[in-house]
This record gives sequence, C-alpha cells and structure tokens, in this order.
Amino acid sequence: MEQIFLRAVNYSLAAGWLVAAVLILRPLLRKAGAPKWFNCVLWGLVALRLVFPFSIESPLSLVPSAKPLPDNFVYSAYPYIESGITYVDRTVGAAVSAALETNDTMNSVNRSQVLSFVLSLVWIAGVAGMVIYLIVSTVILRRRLATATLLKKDVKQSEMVRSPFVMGIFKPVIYMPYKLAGADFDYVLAHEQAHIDRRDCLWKLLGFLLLSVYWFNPLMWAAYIFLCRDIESACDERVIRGMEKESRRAYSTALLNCSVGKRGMGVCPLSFGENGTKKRIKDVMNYRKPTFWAVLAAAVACVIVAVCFLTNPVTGKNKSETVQAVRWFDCLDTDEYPSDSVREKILDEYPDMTLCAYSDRLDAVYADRVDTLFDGAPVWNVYFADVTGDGSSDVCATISIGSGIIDERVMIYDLAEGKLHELSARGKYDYTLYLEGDLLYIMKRDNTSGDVVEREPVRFYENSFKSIY
Amino acid sequence: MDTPKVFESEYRFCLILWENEPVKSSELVKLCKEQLGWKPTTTYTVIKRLSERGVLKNENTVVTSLVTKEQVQAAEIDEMVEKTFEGSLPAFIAAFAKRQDLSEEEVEEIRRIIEK
Repeated sequence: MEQIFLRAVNYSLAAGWLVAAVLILRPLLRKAGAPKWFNCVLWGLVALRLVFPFSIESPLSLVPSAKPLPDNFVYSAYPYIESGITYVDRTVGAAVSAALETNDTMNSVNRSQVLSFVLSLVWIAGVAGMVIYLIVSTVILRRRLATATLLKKDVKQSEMVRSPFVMGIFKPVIYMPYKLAGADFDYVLAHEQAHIDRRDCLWKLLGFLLLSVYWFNPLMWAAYIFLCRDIESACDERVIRGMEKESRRAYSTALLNCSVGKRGMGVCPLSFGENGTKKRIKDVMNYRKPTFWAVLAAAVACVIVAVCFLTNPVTGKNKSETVQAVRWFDCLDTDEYPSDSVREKILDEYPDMTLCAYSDRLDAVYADRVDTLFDGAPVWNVYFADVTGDGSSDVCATISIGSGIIDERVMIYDLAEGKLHELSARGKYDYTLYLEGDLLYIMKRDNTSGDVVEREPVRFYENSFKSIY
Repeated sequence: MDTPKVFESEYRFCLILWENEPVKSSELVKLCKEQLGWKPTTTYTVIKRLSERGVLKNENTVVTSLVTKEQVQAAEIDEMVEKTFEGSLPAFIAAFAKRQDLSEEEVEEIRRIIEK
C-alpha cells in the first residue's frame, strides 16, 4: 500500500507540472481568441498523464523528474528525493532526512516506515471519503429527483431544481425548474443539450474520480475547478456559435437568471448557471469566430504541451530505477578464487577489447596496448551493467585493498567514457556488489563489526554514487 | 380547514388522479410511468405522502382524492398573493390584468366571477 501511495505521489507531482503549464497557457489562449474547447483538450492531457503513467522518455520533456520520491524512499535509512531541481533536492531532502534520520539506524528505518504507513492510511481514507461523498450526494440527489415529471423525451422538471442541469452518464436527462420563462427556457435547453452532445457528464465524473485519487495535491483541485469552468465555456461556445448579437444578449440574460440562487459546486450534475458567470457572459458577448491563426496557434500549443509534459525526462536507467546486470564471475558467491589463472571475456559491444581478470587487477587488452582499469587484491567479483545510464555496459567490481585495515570497495569502470568511479569508506564501511534476481545491489557493512547497515540497488546519479552509500 | 400544500410535481400527479378517480393504485402506477416518467416506487411513495397530508385516501388499493382541483389552485393563488403581493388581492389582480392580453369575453367572465 505504501508503494502505491508513493506512486500516486510521484504521478501527481509529475502531472503537477503539466497542470501548472495548462494554468499558464489558459489566459494566453483566451487572449489569442482560441476556441474554448482547446482548454478541455489540455485538461484531457492532464487526465491522460494521471491515468497512464508515461514511460515514454523524451529529451524535450520539461518535467524535471518522473519520480521525485524514489521507490525505496520508504525503506531507506537515509531517504532522499530526486525532484530534478537541485535546490529542492538539497533543501527539502535535507529537511526530510533531518526529520527521519537518527543515529540509530534501526530506529530511523522504523520511523520512516511508520510515517509512510500512516500517511498512506490517511491517503486511502481521503480517497474513500471522496468516493463516498460522490456516491452519497448522487443517491440523495436522485432520490430528490424521483418525483421530477417528464416534459418531453430526456427532459424532466422538478421543484427541487433551482438551476437547470444534466445528470446521468449512460442516459443523460436534463432537469429543469418548473418556473422558467419562455425564451430563457429554450436557451437553457440548448445549453444542456450541448452538454449531452459533448458527453460532459462523463468528463466531469472522470475528473472527479482522478481528483479523488490525487486529493492531496492542491494543484489537482485547481485543475478540477478550472476544468468545470472550461467545460461550461466550451459548451456556451458551442451553443452561441453562429448566433447574432441579439440572441447572444438573450442567452446571457438566461445565464444570469439561472446563476441567481445557485448552490455549491455539485459533483455530477452540470448546472447551467454554475461557475464564473461574469466571465462567461463576457465571453459570450465578445464572441468572435476564431481566426484560422488562433486555431492553429492553439493546436500547436497543445502539441507542444503534450510533447513536453506527457513524456518523462531521459533518465538513463540509473537515476532511480534499478540496474539490470550480467554476471561475469563472483568468487563471493560460487566461483573459484583465481590465485594464478586468468579469466578472459570479450563483450559484444567492444569486440576489439579483451577483458582479463587477474587475482589482483583487471586489464583491458587491445591489439596494440593494455590498459589496467583498476587493481586491488583480490578482485572478488565482476558484473556488467549500465550503471552510468549512457546505454553501454560498465564494468562493476568488488575489490579489496589495504594492509592493516582491509576494506571492500566497489569500482565501476565506465568503458564508454574511460572513467573510473569508486565507492569506499576505508575504516568505516565495506561495500560489496551482489546480484538479486538480475538486479545489481550494494551491501553496506560496518567495517569493524561486519553488521549489514543497508542493502540498496546500485544507484548512480550525476556522475557519482549517491551520498546514501 | 386549510387545503394541504401540494408541490408542483405532486400537482402533476393529482391532475392524473382527478381525471381518473376512483382509480386502482396499480393503474396509477401505469399512468404515472407513461405520463410523468415515474418509477413504480416513486408513485407509491407519493400516494403515501399525499394520503398522510390528507390530499387523497387509499382504501383497498383504490385511490380517491379528498381535495378538488379548484381547492388546490385557490390555495396556490393564496400563497402567491401572500408571498409576492404582500397579501393584497387587488394588487395581484392589477398586475395580472396589466400583463395579460385579455379578450373582451374573458374580461366579461372575470367581472361576473368577481361580482358573484
């Protein structure tokens, strides 16, 4: 459950950037005179992002990080975040670590686990609350509307209705108050019919369900509120398209009449006089047929937003995902320790190079030269995995070094770059690589006592090991 | 005795009742389904509600009204006069006469009613 919660947080944080972009874009589109239904398309993109966790990566992505909270956030003794913004990482990360960290490792693990457990319970309770609210309010409304009388097909009247609305996903019915004068009645009916044609009930319900899942993110509330407004505006637009100014004035009057005495924001019903009446009347009166250029600009804006915010940044696999590895040999596991023998290996990616593993060093042998990648005694194990995330395998090894204090350390040689990365804390900790499934892990042990401090998937970020090791 | 309050949707139901009474409740269910789009449970609920309020009685599943259409209309007008015209009947009639295009005949009929 904590993992699901963590995922929800990550999705909503990533989608938050998209929401922010849409919120910025809305007034610009309005200025440009773009059709209002483009706003709805933009909210559709937000919904898409929230429903499908995008695994498509793009260099054009403007989402700073797809996973601000790493998978192991809950269990890590030293939780950290990867928002994609260094400043945020430092300040928030430090605060998080300070809040969760203690000198006693066991304690800190417990504390962050307890905290995330409690938080995910609160989250579930919130989701349940939202859904129950939706169901209960719908049932109550339906009961009240049971006595609504049929006016004509799919149109009912009830004294319980103050401002007209549409309800029902599969069989939408328009509900009207009894007291609605002639001209107003026709305009209102046209508006509600447009809602039905646009299937707005379905969109609004989808919006509310997504809000129920991501209720903890204030940006999602903003998104929902603006979605409701934009649905109304787009619906107005559909009705008044092709109307003369006089008719539009009459339509505005109907809008105003219905907005008087409106109730709070309903969930399912789409009411006529809801949401930002003033702005809507302005839009209706100022309506001009969108120019070709305005439509084109809006379409281009939508595409750009989709490309930049529906995709995740290119991470390489290193950033927060675990690294798949191929074993060459591991003397700590079952392979025999090579006192005199040499192991040789040619990687498909580097056909000109032969790797030679001696007991005390690792050489890369070419036709004309020999490079020693690193030496140490002994070389305990070697795995091949793309730890640096550049798309090519790196040589990952555990070696021992030292006299007096002997430690185990992890060496990662980036073959593509020709760079060596080392993880060691001599006299304090031992680091050992091991394979679990096909994923490469690092075990961190206390150098003196030999107690395991932590087991973590190999993690590599911005050219170094994370400080957590 | 005051005429009991009948809401708009209930009034639509009563119109059907007045036209068909005495009528079996199962028959009412059928009529309400056709004309009002009501579910059977809704019709039964309304029958029960209105019988509690003294608008109708339901004996051995035969439903008959206890108030007439005219009584309900009069009560409705009383309420409107009270609410909108501060209880002044002349103000109401003045507003009514000003707004409607009344034919010669209708004016004559109204005069007769008032003089009675």
